Amino acid sequence: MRSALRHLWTRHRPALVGLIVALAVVAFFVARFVAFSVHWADPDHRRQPPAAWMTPRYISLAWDIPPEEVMRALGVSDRHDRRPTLGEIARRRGVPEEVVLDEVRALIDAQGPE
Amino acid sequence: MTDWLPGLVADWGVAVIALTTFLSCLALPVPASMVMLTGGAFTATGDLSLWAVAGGALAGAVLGDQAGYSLGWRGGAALAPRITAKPRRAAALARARGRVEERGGAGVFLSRWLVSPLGPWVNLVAGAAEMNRARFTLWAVAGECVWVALYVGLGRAFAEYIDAVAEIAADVSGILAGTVVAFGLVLWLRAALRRERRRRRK
Repeated sequence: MRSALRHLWTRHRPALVGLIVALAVVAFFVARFVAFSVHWADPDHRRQPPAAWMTPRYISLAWDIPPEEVMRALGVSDRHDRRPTLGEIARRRGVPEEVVLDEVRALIDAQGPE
Repeated sequence: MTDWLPGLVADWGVAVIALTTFLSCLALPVPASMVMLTGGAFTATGDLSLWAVAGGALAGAVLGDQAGYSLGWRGGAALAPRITAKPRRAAALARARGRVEERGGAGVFLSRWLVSPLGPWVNLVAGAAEMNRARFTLWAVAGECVWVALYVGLGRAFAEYIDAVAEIAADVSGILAGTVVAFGLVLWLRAALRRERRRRRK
């Protein structure tokens, strides 16, 4: 076994180093998977909290609120070809993103616990 | 997750998705899986059309594969005269090309989706080994269909949990790619040891 390893180390070093690296990569992703499984096991962590990249329709889908209601609450038109993000809605209204995000959170809270 | 990425998909739609899958086939470090998951999620909300997202992602990936193959082909053509100058090396190159022609199809197909981190490198190797282009294209398109369907489908099915899905998909993909490479190297090293043992017995 040791002589075999020594032979591989002297004659096939790139392949042996490659194998060690590949095993390290596998170990890394297994560890990451385990760590995140603990995190995602909590249902509160799974659902995306409101963020600037989301569109009104995304909020509607994620939190089971009719899309018209979300759009009305945020003061945007219900046009099918439009998909402004919450960040863009804030820019257009000239308010900080946080203001629009707070409105969304208020809307979600108003729906009550599911 | 960083917000700018899904924001980019929302703002620019299919163009961003196609560009990302194109660049990812050339081994550029772009988050193609995250972009496809986000695109898929926006098809569930009704912000983007499913066919446009899937078509855009597929078009980008297929063109990217072709570009990678061409790059590999040019590199191989430049290197080949130097390799074939020595008869032993020329024979080894011919053997390698024969093997790629023989089993390359499955490798191209599986490296599109099952072990996608290896995909760009397989494109280069297939081109450099001058694998039959029609065969390469056939298997590459078939594999990219699976890749796109997988990620856009996951994004669409789990739109409200895309962070979790992206995380898990990245881990599974890393584990699979690492395992395949490790397995291949174990086979290689085992063959090397056998050769050495046979040589000693003689």
